This record gives sequence, structure tokens and C-alpha cells, in this order.
Amino acid sequence: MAYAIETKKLTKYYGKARGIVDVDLAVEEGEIFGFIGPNGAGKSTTIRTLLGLIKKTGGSATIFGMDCEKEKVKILSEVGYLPGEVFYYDNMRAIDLLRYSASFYKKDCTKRIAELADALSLDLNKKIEDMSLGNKKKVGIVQGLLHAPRLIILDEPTSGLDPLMQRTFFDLIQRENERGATVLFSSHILGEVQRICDRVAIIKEGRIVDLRSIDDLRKNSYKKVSFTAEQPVADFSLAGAAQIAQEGTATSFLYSGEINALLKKLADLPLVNADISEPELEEIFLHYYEDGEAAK
Amino acid sequence: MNVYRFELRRAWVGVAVWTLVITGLLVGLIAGALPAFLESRTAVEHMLEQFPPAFAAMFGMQMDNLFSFGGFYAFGFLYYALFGAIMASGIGLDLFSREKREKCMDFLLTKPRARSRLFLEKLLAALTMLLGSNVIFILASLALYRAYAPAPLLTERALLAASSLLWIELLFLAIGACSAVFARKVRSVSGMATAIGFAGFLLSALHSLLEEEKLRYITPFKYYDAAKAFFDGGFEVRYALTGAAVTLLLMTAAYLRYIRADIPAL
Repeated sequence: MAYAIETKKLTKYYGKARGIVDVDLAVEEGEIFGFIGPNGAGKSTTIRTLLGLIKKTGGSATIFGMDCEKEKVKILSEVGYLPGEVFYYDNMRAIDLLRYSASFYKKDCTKRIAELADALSLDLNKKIEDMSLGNKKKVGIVQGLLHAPRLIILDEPTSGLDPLMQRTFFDLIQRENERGATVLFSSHILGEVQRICDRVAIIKEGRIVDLRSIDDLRKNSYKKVSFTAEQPVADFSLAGAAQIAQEGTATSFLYSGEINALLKKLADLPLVNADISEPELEEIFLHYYEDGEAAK
Repeated sequence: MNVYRFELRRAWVGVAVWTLVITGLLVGLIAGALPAFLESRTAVEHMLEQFPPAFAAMFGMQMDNLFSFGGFYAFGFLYYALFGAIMASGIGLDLFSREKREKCMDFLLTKPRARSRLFLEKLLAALTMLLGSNVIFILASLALYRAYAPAPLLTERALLAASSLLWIELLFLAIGACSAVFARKVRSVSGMATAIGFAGFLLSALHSLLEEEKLRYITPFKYYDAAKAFFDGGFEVRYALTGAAVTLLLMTAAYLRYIRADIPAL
């Protein structure tokens, strides 16, 4: 069976500026696939190439086995897309915009519009320009899902949604996934990708640097550890700790390994305070970057 | 045809207002001013003698035939053309930059519709509005011609003369469409359309002032000369062809750009 999304050596240059280089992706039907990387890494470029908004420079890209450029129209009838920032025509009520959107698909979407609006508690009779950022986003969500697409592409979808709405949103996406939809979810926030994705590709400076399952990522992921002791801890060392930085009584490092080993080590110290947290995405990338350097 | 209907719904009011302005000006000039103008010929001639001949030409007056229905009608054309050019380039700018202005390119271009089809539906909507506007203008022209021109009536000539507004507008529609798709950003449709219209007006004035024939090849208002149509029964072929070629060229350029352009993220 064809992959929902498959790219081979997909490359895009904007003139001389790098967009993406040799991106290989294979997203299976029915999975929720995360796509993470810092801003400017090439997430949007990849997505926009898949959607036919920009033309690739090289390589190939297919969705459900169809070529993204040659069979764009057919592909787009099965794809729902939610961009990071949502803008619509002036002076239109949500319902007018959604009806216009629905008029591009060869099916009746009236019922789904009502259902989705209900699930998001969105007032369809309000003018879009009078809506809050969050509500505009909801219009975008309904707009992207109203034709029950087989593939849902989300580009940084949670910006502008409060935590409660984010939860409703993730529930909605998960329901769509249970219905059978494949989801491509791009984000620069590791946490939200971990929340719903099965697998995740990490993109950095236009290239895919890693592809792994979320479970795997969790097991191997770094923790950010910092603690303050009563006295300065001389020559702190621990297997799996990297980037150890000490200043007075404070010590911080990145840790990858057995969490019990870490806790045992810490338990022996005269601690005043300790903090173990998820590192920021940038810090994880630092690790990929160092690996890259080491390989050279 | 949903895009066609959508564009018509959003743009028709503006076009209707412009049509009223242009037709109103036509009616005002012919029905209101022409009779009095013809009666006071000596006084007007005397007044115009105070100015250099180029001055009158700049404002569209051709002295050899000004004091006749056809000449006066053609004199008004400079102004109908100005308003028509603003309207038509405005339509081109409005329709073809709509998604760019309102930042919803992503919305329209991720719908299952080929870009060529989107372009054609927008173009068709623009043509529908221009045609509608010109039907009204032409009908009004013919009615005034019947009411105010002396016999014998040559209706085909009057029709051809009146049609020159449509040809000029088609050219400006193409200019507007081209500007819309090539501009990185379109801030104000009315501002840009007015600038384009006045640029056409200034070129026309410049041509009248300098009487340099070569200049006429870049003077859109004079590609289709209403006076020539009226008095000689036809446009000057080389200028009319230039106009048609420029129109097609610009429209094709706009089309190619529209279907090929990379749509950058916001």
C-alpha cells in the first residue's frame, strides 16, 4: 500500500537560500506523525511543497501515491490543512466562509460544519474579523476538517489556543485519527508532539536529522537537571551526564540514562533544591548538533 | 464556478458605482453641456485662443471638430477613459490580489482547484463586470447620439466609437491584474488604481502636448481613438493592434505568474 506521504530527496531552494535538502519522509496511513524542529528549520517549506503552494527544486513527493505537483487537485480534495496563522476574507461571517470553503468539495459538508462548530463551541454567525485569535483559529480548524479529509496537515496549529482549547483540539484530532485520517503535525514544541504523535521526524537546518517513535524518543531523551547543594560539590560526575556546568553551590547538566541512577546519585548529595525537567527543543538539538560534529 | 460567483458578489457594487459615475458624466456632458456649448461657439473659441493650442489638446480638445456631436463626444472620452481605466485596473487589482491582501492565499490555493481554473474564473468575473458596465455606457451613448446628433445617423460608427472605452478598459484590466500578481504586497487597491489611471491620463496629455507620433505607442488612452472611429469609421489599425497585443501580453504574463508563483508562508 502506498504511504500517506512519501518524499524522496525532496529539495527546495529559494534562489540560493536553503529551504530543505534531501528530505526523506514516509508517513503511513492512519498514523499521527510529528514533525519538529526550531523555527526556520524547513517544516513549513516541506508542508508547503506537499500542498503545491511552492514548487520543489528536486526530489519527489507523493501523497497517497499521487504526485504532489501533477495530481495536486486530486490530492487536495483529500487533504485538510490548518496553517499556523489564520486569516480570512474581510467582512464575512464564519458560516459564509465555511460555506464557501465547502463549495470546493463535491460533498455536502453542512452536517460536519455544525458538528465541528458545536464541538469547538464556535458561534458561526459572528463576523470573522470581530473574533478573538482563538476563535479565528477555530474557524480554521472547522475549515480544515469540514470535508472529512483522509490526510490532515497541521502547521504549528496550537499557537493562539489556550490550554483548555488545546485539549479540545487534540481530542478532535485524535477522533479524526480514529475515523481513519492520517495526521501530519508540525511544531516546535516537543511536548505537544509527544502528546499525540506515534512517530516523529526531527528537522534541522533543512535536513531530517532523526526519525523515531515517540516511545523511543522518551527513553533516550535528555533531561535537564539542576540542583543546589549546601556546599559546592567538587568534581561532580555521573555516567550519562553531559555539559556539566558548576557555579558556586549550583550545578546543572543534561542527563541521558537510567533515571534511578540519577536519583541515587542526587540522594547522596546535601541538596537544598533540585529540578529535573524536559529540555527545550533547542537543547535537544544541541545534542544532535554535537553528534554531527563527533561523526566528522 | 463558485469562485466566479464569489468574486462577482464581492466586487459588483464598486463597479456599479463607477458605471454610474462614467455614464452620469457622459449624460451630463452631452445632454447638459453640448447644446449650450454649440450655441456659444464664438465665445468658447475666443476663450480658447487665449491659451496656447497645446493647452486645449492636453485636455482632449481637437479644435477641428470640437463643435460637433462626434468631436464633443470624443473630447469627453479622455475623461471616460480616465475613470474607466481607474475602474478597470481597480477590478484587476482587486480580484487578482484579493487573497494576497487578505492573507488567505493558503486558504484558496489549498482547495482542490487548479490555479489555472482559479485564474480563469476570476478573469471571467472581471470580464462580466466590464461588459455589464460597457453595455450600459454604450446604450447611453447610442441613446444620446439619437437624441442630439444631426441626421444622417451612422449608428455603426457611434457604436464603434463608444466601444473604444471597453477596449481601453480591457487593457487596464490586464495592467491591474499584472500589478496584482507581480506586486509583493498590495496595500490599497483604490490608491494603486487611481495612480495607474492618472498615469494613463498623463501619458495622453504628454502625447497631445508633444505631438510625437512614436509616443502614441505607449499611450493606452489613444490606442482606440473614439474621434477616428466616429469620423472615419475605424480605429487606426497599428495602434489598435498595439493595444490588443499589449493587453494579451500582460494578461498572459499575469496568468503565468499566477499559476507558477511560490506562495511564501506568512
